[in-house]
Amino acid sequence: MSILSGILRFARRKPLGAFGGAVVIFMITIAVLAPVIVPADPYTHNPSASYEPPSWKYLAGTDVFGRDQLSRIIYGSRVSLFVGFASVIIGTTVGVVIGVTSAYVGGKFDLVVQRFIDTMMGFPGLVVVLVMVVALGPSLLNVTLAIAFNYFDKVIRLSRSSALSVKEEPYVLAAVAIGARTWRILTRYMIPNCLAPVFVLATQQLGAAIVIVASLSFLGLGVQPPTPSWGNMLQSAAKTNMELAPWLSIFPGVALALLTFSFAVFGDALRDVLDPRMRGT
Amino acid sequence: MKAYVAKRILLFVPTLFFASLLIFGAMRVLPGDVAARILSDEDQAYVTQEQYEQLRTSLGLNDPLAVQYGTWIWSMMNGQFGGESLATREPISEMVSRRLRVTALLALYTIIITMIVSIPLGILAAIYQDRWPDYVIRIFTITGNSIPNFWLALMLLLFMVLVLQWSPPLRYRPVWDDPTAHFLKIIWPVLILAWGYTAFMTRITRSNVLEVLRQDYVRTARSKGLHEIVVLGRHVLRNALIPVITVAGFYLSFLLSGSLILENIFSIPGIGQGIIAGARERDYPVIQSLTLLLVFFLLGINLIVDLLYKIIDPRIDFAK
Repeated sequence: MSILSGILRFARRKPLGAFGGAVVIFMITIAVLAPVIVPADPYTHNPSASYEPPSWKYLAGTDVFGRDQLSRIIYGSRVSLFVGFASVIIGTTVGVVIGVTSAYVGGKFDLVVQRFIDTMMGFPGLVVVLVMVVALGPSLLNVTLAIAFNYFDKVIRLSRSSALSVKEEPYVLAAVAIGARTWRILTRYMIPNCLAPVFVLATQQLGAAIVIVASLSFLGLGVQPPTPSWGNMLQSAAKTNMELAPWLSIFPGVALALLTFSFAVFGDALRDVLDPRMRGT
Repeated sequence: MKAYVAKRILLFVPTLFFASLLIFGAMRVLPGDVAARILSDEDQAYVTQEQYEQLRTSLGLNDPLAVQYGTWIWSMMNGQFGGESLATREPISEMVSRRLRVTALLALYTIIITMIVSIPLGILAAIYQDRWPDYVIRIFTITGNSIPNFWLALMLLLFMVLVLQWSPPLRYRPVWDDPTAHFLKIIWPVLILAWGYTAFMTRITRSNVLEVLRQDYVRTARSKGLHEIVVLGRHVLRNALIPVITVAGFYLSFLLSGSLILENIFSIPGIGQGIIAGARERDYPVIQSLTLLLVFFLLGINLIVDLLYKIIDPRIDFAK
């Protein structure tokens, strides 16, 4: 009951954010149910239906092999969402543990962590991911790890700075005073109280991760065909004569832009609600 | 002040050293080794152990890691930039001098357009907060932030071909050779990058102006009967625009990430195109050297911006 009224209040205060959240939930549902709802198999070649423009039979048209584009877009959402969520979960977990520990322990460990963050901030994001993917080889898992690596420095920075103030809170000092172990202080008192801003960052990173994986696949360095992803669909659309079959380059991009837009507005609304200090920035 | 500058410059060196170690390390954790991959890429049916060892020695792969790292760093400093490309045999130093100019121009045009557009937009959005100009600008910035660059580029190309029946010139030309062709080629990625950059800078400008508008000295200026334009120009903007400069430097790394892809789509022969081509060909010396160079410039620019910021705004506490 209270959850439902909370959602309703959020929707009234932040209609655009609620729209974003709804689109995200819709996309997740589609990705999970993909095998059940696709109109055709995304891998089956059908030479007689090559380059069919959008019609009632093929809502988003077909590609050179006659594969149904709508089905491929639906399957492609799985790649985007998997990489998005997996990289954010990995990056956030590792980042928060390092960031909060670094703030709490201080000393040499903290110094090394700070230098590391400074260095990482100097790299253009896509370059880090690119270098890692080249080193590890292009695959779904490696792309996910590379994106998580490119993001966890920001988590460290954010969680470290909030941990520095949480560290001085009376309840942490009280825990220290009664002789609680470091590990217990970190997991029970420090980390839970540093999570709100990190959570907001994570929502915003979801959109960024989805753009990065699409960009990499577009460059041929991400998810490899025939596995459909929005990025490699756009890549093959750009390689053939684009003006011959414009629907091939339009629809996967619309799906991509809609999802990143939704994550962006949802993240912004969440930030306004959870973190009033950053409102309006 | 002096101590701060010295500290900031001293920090630059270990940060760069750390960056070079990361890049070098990433290039060495490859599954399989470089020589084997190069040989397997070439159309040779059979490779003798001798050829393989010869290649390893010529690539310097048989040296200890510390020696390899030292050789690479030394060549970065004396302008050799790690020898030559494995794929094209072009010396990397030539590649750098050719490509760096193009990317620098691309970034420069983008920054100029962004500054001209975003600062007035940000001010406008702040003055008309929560009224229709603010909403229009907000839609412009949200879309600029969330439409992926490379798809926007594809749509632009598609639009030009289908609707305008026109495409950008095939080859990139330097400004002085053929200004028209140069601008017609480079302006498209610049506009796309500038949209994303403007979106970001407009938001920052807006929130800074809003914050300054709430200050007591602005109320004082208004209450003593100054014209609104004087209040804005002399009291608000001067204070609001300083932080905008720092953030502009910070965004530069996003700008370069974007140009990495856009240079490819619009076939602009810059650093980004070089890195991607290197990544596709597994051209390790090229990726390694170009990446470090890019990081060097970014760190350098951030350092300069940071120092400028402290000089412009005397309120900053140097002890921090």
